[in-house]
Amino acid sequence: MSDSALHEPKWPALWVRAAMRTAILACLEAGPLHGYAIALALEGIGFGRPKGGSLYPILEELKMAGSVVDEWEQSDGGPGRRVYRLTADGRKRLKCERGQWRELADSLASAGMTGNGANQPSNAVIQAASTSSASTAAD
Amino acid sequence: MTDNTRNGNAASAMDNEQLFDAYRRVRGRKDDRRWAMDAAYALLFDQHASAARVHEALAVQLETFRNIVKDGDGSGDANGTIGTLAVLLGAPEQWAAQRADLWREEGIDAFDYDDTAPLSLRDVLVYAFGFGALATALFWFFMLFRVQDWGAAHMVWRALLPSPMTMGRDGGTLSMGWVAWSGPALPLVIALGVTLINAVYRCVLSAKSFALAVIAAGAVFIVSVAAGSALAMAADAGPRMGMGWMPVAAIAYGLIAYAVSRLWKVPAGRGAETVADDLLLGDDEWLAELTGLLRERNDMTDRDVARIRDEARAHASQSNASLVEEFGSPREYAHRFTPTPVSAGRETVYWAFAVIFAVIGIVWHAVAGETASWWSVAQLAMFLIAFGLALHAWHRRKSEAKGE
Repeated sequence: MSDSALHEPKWPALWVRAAMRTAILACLEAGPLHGYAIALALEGIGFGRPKGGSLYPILEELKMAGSVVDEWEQSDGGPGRRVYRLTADGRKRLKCERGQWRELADSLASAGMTGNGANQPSNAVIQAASTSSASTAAD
Repeated sequence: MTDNTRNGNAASAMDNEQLFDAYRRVRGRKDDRRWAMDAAYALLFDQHASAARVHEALAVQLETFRNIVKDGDGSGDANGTIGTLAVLLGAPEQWAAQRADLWREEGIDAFDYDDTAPLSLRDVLVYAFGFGALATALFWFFMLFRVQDWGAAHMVWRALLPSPMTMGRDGGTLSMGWVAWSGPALPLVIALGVTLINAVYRCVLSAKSFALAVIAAGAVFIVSVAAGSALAMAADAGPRMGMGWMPVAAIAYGLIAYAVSRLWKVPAGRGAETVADDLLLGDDEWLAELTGLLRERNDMTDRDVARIRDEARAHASQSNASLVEEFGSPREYAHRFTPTPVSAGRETVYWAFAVIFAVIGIVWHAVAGETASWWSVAQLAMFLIAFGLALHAWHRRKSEAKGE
C-alpha cells in the first residue's frame, strides 16, 4: 500500500470529522502524546493522518474545554517537546461519547427492523424494494 | 428556479440595512431586526468575521427563518407560537460564536483582522486629521456654553466666525469668546497623540510582544501629554483670538484628511497578497508571518502565540513536510484558532488606565486649590460611567466563560 493511501482515512470524511474529537481523546487514553504522535495514532485507528493545520486547532479546543492539558516534557538527550494528556474530565467525556457512538451504531443497525426485533425488514422497506424492482424490470 | 433559490439570491443582493429590514418583515417584529443587527455586530467585532461572510451567513439564516415561519416546523410552543429569534436560534452572540466555530472547523478562512493590523503613515494622518476635525468642532461647541454675555460688542462674530481681532492675556477669557492661540491646535495634537499611541501599539504588538507594545504606547502617551502641555503653557502667556477660528480649523483638518485619503493611494498590504503567494513562503518566513498575524489578533497571550509557533515548527520537522504543506497559508492557520480568554483582561487594563488618569486629574485639580467646575464634574461623571460599563462588560465575560 502506498504512503498516500496509508494517510487516507478508512471512512468518509464527514464521519471522520464528526468523530475526530472522540478519536483524539481515545488516542490519549493510554498516555500523553505529542502532536505528531497523536496524528500517527489517529492514522493507526483508521482516521487517516490529519494535517497539522487541522489537528492543532482541535487540540486547542479540547484544551479550552478542559478535556486535555498540555505540558512540556523534557526528553533525555534531545530537545523537549509539548505533550498532551487526558484530564479526568476528558476521561469522563471519552466514556460518555463512546457510549453515544455505540448507541448510534446500534440504532443504525436495527433501523428498519420489525417491532418484535426479528431480523426481518419492515413492510415499508419491502414495498419500496418491490417498486424499485418493478421499475428496473420495465427498463 | 425554486422559491427558496429565488429568495436566496434576493437576500444576497441586499445591503445590510435591507437585510435587517427583511428580518423584521418576516413576522412584522422589530425584535427580529434587532436580533439580526446584534448577530451581525457579534460576528464582525467579537468574532472578526469578514463583512462578506457576515452578510452571507445572515442571508442564509434569513431563508431558514422564513421557512420556519412559513412551514411551522414545530419550533413553537404548545399553542404553535414561535418564540423570539433568541429562543429559536440562540442569543446573537452565541449564534455568532457557533458560526465562527463552524468556519474554523471546516477550514474556511472567514476572518478579517485588518482592524488590528499595523497602521500605515497614511492611515495615521487620515485618522489624526479626521478625529482632529471632529474634536475641534466638539471643543468649539462646548466652549459656546461658556460664553456669558452674548449681547456684548462683537460677541456673536467673535464666537461664531473667524475674527481678525485679538486680545491680550488678561482681557481675553473664554466667557468673553476668546481662546489662546493654541486653542484650534490643541484638539489636533490630542487626536494625533491618540492615533500615534494606537499605531505604535499595533506596530510593536505585531513585531514584538504585548508587554513591549504597552510600554511603547505608554512612552508615546507621555510624550504626547508633554507636547500638549508644552503647547498649552507656551500659549498661556500669548495673545487671545476669537473662538470663531475653531470651526475654521475643524473644516481645514477635515479637508486635509479627505485630501490625504484621496491622493495617497492605499499601500499594498497583506490584503493585496494572494493565498498563492503565501503558499510559496519558506519555513522561516512562514513562521514570522504566522507569529505577526497571531499577535495582531490581539486576543491571545504572547505565551500562546509562542506555543502555537513552536508546535507548528516541531510538527513539520517530525513529519518531514514544509510548514505550508502541513498547515496551509499562515493566514488560514492563524484564523483557525479561537481566541484565548485574554480580551476581557486587556480591556479592563485599558479602562483602568483611563479611570486612574482621570481620577489623578480630578484629585490634582482639588489639591492645587482649584474649585470644582461643572466641566470637571462632568468629566468625572463620564469616566465613572465608562468604568461602570467596563466593569459590567468584564463581569459578563467572566460569566460567559463560566458558562452561566
